[in-house]
Amino acid sequence: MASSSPPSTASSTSSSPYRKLLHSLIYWAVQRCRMSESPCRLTISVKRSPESACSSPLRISVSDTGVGSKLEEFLELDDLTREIPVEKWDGTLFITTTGINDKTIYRYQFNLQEDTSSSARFTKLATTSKICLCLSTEADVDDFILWLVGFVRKIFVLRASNLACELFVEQTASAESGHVCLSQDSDDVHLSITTSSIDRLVSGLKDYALSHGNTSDRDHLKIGTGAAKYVDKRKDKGQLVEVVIMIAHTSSDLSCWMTHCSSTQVLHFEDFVPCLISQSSFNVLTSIDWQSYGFKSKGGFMDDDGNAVLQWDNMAFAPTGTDQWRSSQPESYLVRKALKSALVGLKVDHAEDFLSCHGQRVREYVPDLAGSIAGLILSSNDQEFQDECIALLGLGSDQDLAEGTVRSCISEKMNRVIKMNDTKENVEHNTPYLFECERLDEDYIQLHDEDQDLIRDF
Amino acid sequence: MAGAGVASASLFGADRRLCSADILPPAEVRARIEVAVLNFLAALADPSAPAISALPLISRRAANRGLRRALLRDDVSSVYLSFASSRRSLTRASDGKPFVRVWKVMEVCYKILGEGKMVTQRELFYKLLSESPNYFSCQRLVNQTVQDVVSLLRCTRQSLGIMASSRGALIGRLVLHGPDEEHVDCSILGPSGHAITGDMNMLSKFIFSSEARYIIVVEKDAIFQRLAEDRIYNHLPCILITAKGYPDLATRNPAGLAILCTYKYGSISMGLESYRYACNVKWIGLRGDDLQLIHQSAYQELKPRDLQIAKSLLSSKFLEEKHRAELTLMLETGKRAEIEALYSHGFDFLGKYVARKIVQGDYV
Repeated sequence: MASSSPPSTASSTSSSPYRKLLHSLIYWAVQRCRMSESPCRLTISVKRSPESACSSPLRISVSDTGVGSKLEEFLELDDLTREIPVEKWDGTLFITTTGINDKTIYRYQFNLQEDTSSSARFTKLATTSKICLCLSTEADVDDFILWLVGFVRKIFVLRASNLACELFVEQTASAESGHVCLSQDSDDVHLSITTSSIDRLVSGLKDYALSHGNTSDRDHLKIGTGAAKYVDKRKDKGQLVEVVIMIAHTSSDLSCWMTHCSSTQVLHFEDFVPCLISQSSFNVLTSIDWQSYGFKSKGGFMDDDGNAVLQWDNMAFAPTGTDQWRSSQPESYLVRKALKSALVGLKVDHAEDFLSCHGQRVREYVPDLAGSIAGLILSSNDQEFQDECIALLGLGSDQDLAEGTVRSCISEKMNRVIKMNDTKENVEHNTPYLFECERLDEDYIQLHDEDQDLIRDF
Repeated sequence: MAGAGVASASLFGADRRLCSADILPPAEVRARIEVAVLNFLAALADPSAPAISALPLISRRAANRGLRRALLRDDVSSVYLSFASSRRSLTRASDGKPFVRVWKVMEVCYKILGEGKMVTQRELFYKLLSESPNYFSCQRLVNQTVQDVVSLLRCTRQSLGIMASSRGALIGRLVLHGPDEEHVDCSILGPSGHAITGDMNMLSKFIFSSEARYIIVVEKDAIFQRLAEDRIYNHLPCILITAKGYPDLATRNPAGLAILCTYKYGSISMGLESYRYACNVKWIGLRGDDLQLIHQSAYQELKPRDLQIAKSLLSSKFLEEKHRAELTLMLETGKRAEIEALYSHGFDFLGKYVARKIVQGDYV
């Protein structure tokens, strides 16, 4: 199920080798936790030593209580080492490991910059430490820490069962010292051991959306979920793609509308770890028929951090939530299937809000048309005609009806028809005519040319 | 006119292909509109399959148009429309606004007929513009929608309470006896002549008495006034009529022929009523032979718009042979000339020119 190449894609400017390295360490730690059947803890800590600010090394450690290391993990680290210059990282990795039945704790020092055949490459140690590496300062330590915080926050979104994740950042530079501590807030009462991963995702995403200030109301979020899987029984492997789409109603405050609502952030995970989205999956995202669900897509792009962003045009409300899915290098047809399933789910639950773009255009004419017919009915002095109309509309015939009442009744019925027929095939074919006509229509489209009156006569 | 009416009515009875609009009293038209509303609401409220009904409009495109040739002595050839209808539905892309427009015009006509009034298309435009500016931004849209309602309800424009605006004028050997006993001698009027009312009903109540042998239809108002000032009807027993051209066109000569064809056969845009108004006109001038009368400096190049009209006319199967020959000659020389070019021979030349042509029977 795993890949042997590092999970990175197009924008190389953003995925610095340090990030790739850390990503790899965290990825394998998460897989170890998943492998274990009992609750696990994953701890990431970053320490900046109190030496001169410009060249203080960063000590990063990743520790977990999972089981089972894999060869691929070390192969990957080997590859990544090559990308990092020696002056930035001397290639030293300290690994501490033990098992539940072991009486001792094993400590090793890994020198990845050394040759594979060298005996100095792998040494057993006496003192304890976790897997940690020391990097000389990255060009911008703050950026790196910011990225790491965002990364860990995304892990929190998954609310993976049996995984408690925390991040400690300690800066003890000379003038200032500060701590950042992030830990999973897994006190959502709705989550239990048996809650499915996709429901956990939904719960985590709600909090994520709230914390990003896109919405202030957890309960008015509209959510669509979808999944697609492929199982190869012979080879005993498969792929599973799960998608969650979250839409928030924005406030009516115009300034909020302008800044937040024209784009959607996509969170992408592979094997429960945040990951850069692949080009094929990104292509699926941008090529979906969003119009059928009322979204006017303006395309998308990869932002500076290598995340996918989708853009929208003139939305009355916008997907301020995010799409996300996970699998390992999913087949694009699975992604498309899961995404579509999520969109269909949204539409089924909230049909009025997700009318296709065409349906929305048609719906704009309804008030005027209803007003015209209502005006016609009420201007009549033929009581029988009026009574018959009122009866057809199902309104009470005893009182004097206001034009507004008749108009909204007609509007409501028309909107229902439009919603019912949205994106259905063969609707035109099945619509009845107002009057019976002698010959079935031959589908001429009435042109409204300027010169129609004279030129087209002859 | 009554004789022609019987002839055409019986022909329509025999020829089931021809679709026509009926002249109906206001109550009947209101009844048809009421049926439209009831059918619409019934479809909308249908418990098992609610729907927004589509409008069946008699197609006013070339493919649905034919020319009916005159068979009887008092009959004239005219354009007609057949029964193919085009479908207009609210939910089809770009049909939405035209669909709503039809209902809005029906609403206004229903109210007008209820009040027993008549309005011109211009007045109708201003009313719709004030109520629904998003739907009716120009006169053309109003006119087209009125024709849509005519083709939906199959009744004449006049029956809807809409009268033609009075743009026409006449002068000459005609005495009009109006319904209120007024008496107009059209041979003693000033050069602007007598304005023709657009109200068909009123027109039908006039009694005409005349000793004229010819009715001369003049395209341009300026020419009408010139001939009126010369009192051509004192030299020739005739009546001059003008509809002051066709307001939307800027060019003249090929369009002049097109205007003539409209008088002759009726128009497709009012195809359901054309048979009532077509008349057998002939073309006096300017024609190919008259070019020798005009100085070269008066020639003008044919513009792209002229060529477009000419091409459209030539491609029509209705065009008579002689007219076709004239048009082809015009295209070959690539030039046109205004009838005013004849003034180089003196301002009274035009009157003499027209009189000579008529007396010599030189018209096609």
